[in-house]
Amino acid sequence: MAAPAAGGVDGRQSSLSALRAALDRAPPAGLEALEADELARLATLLADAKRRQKAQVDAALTESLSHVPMLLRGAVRKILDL
Amino acid sequence: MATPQTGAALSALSLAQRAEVIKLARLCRVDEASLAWLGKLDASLIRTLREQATAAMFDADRKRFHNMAAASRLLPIPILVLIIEKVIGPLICARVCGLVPPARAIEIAEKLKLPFLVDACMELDPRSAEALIAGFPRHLVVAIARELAQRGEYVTMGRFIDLIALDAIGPVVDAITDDARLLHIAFFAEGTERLGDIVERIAPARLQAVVSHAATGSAELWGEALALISGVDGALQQKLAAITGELPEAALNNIVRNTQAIGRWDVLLPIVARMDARLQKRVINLPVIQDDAIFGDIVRAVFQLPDIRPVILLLAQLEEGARSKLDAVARQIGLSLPDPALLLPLIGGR
Repeated sequence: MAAPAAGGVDGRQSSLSALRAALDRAPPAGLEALEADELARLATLLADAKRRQKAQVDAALTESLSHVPMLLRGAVRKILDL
Repeated sequence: MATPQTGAALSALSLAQRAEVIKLARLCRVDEASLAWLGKLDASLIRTLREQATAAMFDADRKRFHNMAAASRLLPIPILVLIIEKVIGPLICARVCGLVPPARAIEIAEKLKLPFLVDACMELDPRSAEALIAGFPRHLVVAIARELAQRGEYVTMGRFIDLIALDAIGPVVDAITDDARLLHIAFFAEGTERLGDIVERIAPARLQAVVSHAATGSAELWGEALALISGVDGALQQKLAAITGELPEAALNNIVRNTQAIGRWDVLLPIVARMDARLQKRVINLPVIQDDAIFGDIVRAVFQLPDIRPVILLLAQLEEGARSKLDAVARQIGLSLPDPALLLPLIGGR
């Protein structure tokens, strides 16, 4: 994922928005200590981690599906939102 | 695998920050040294970020596993165990088990093979794991703890020991016979209250062995011991301080060198100040301390402390020549230590 724009007030806002999206909630107070580029790095770090985790779960579910009889796979896929 | 071994990049962080950075790095599957810049944030803030990130990661998939958890209730446990081990795998098992009633999840866990169960424990959502792990029978807790320690999974182990029933702590501590491993685990314990629970349940001889092992080991290991000693409250800290103060001089010399290496006089000095007067005098007058660089760092550390009075009184125990040298070093770096005689009326003396 491309890092949010880092510089200036706009960069900070964009990083905070990215962070909010990665955390699914408002980030904690106290992040003012970070420079704009560090805030962007933090947002990228957490977004990547969330994405990696989802990919890992998807891969594990897909692998599990290979053990399910072919006829039932469509229904199971739907249940598991794959 | 996350280990408490850290590179130079993390050495400037406080012990609590270092533990939190390693935990966040572990969650994000990145090298901990690459996150050293987070040292600008308080440990509690890094922890909040980790907790929020954990919630976001686990909640995103929660809905997907509800149906699976519901379906699992329809199957008899022996068949379920077979499916879990052969088809589902530890990652999905960890996600689903938090959505299954704890009593049933524990019944299933008891039937799973230990390596599989440990793999699943490493993937558990810490929030849903609470009821589950607290309800595990003691033999299972000990077996999991031993296996996690064997694998060097200290971050998981720190979280695990936080969740186990109080009466399982003693058996777990006994099962982990390696003193260094015990320190690694304590370093990653989530709560300081639990740290106290752990220390209280370590037999006196073992406690001495652990402190001695840390004192004669590497700077990193000593840093973990400092985190442990400074993390427990009142009487326990005094007990650990006394054990430290009674160590042979060679071990104390190693402590001095390692404290200097990790720059943590701000943590050690208040601990020494908790010793009785005899031990204070012994430790603060060690010849190895009477070095300009060490004295300089000690003076700087004093001014970082929230309460300088106990340490000022500790430094008053320095023999005359050493005290003059300390004051001279302080002047060289533009600082001046308060006269302990002025503090005595404030705290009633010693």
